[in-house]
Amino acid sequence: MGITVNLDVMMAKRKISSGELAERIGITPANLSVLKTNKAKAIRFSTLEAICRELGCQPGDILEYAADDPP
Amino acid sequence: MWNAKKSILLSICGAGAAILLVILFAALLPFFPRFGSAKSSILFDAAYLRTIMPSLYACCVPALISLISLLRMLLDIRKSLVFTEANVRRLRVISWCFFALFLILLLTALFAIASPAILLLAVSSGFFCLLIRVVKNVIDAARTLKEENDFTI
Repeated sequence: MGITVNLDVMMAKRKISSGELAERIGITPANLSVLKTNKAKAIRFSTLEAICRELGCQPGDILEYAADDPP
Repeated sequence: MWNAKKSILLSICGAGAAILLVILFAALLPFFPRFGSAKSSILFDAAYLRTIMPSLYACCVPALISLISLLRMLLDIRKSLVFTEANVRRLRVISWCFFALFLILLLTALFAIASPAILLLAVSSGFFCLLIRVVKNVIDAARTLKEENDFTI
């Protein structure tokens, strides 16, 4: 599992669309989709800061850690 | 003006011409003694050709496979697809082709014709096998870096 991005939950709470959020934080809708679908390998502090600013939340509200299942 | 696009086009033409030459060489090989005399070149000597022909035909196979891989790689590079899994796989194939050439030429030098020139070609093929393997490892590392960079938002 590792780190999960719960951006869609926070976006639903704030009632903001993907296109609008992408425009406000200055990334492409395609990149926002990568972030939302947990395909991203890393997130820049500047992007995280912009998301937190626009959604009025903390990084912990968006990112969640879950331990991997033992093999 | 000379630019990257023209350079790739030239490489594609070169690879295409090399493929045609290998096919032409393989097709005309049995008729070589008719084109000249053994005095002018050793390749026109029928007895010598008979001894070396299986090796030459065996060499044509990895040569063609590697050239086709190279051509497909160049076509991908023209589409700006450089650091991809497919190109890494193609480089691996080319590297193994050079290893096959190394083995064929070494066996030829050891058991068919004890020629220093063939031994030198075998050593060169072995060296190119290693060289392309290193390039493959570099491209693979670059591909991983590019993937991480592409998925850093």
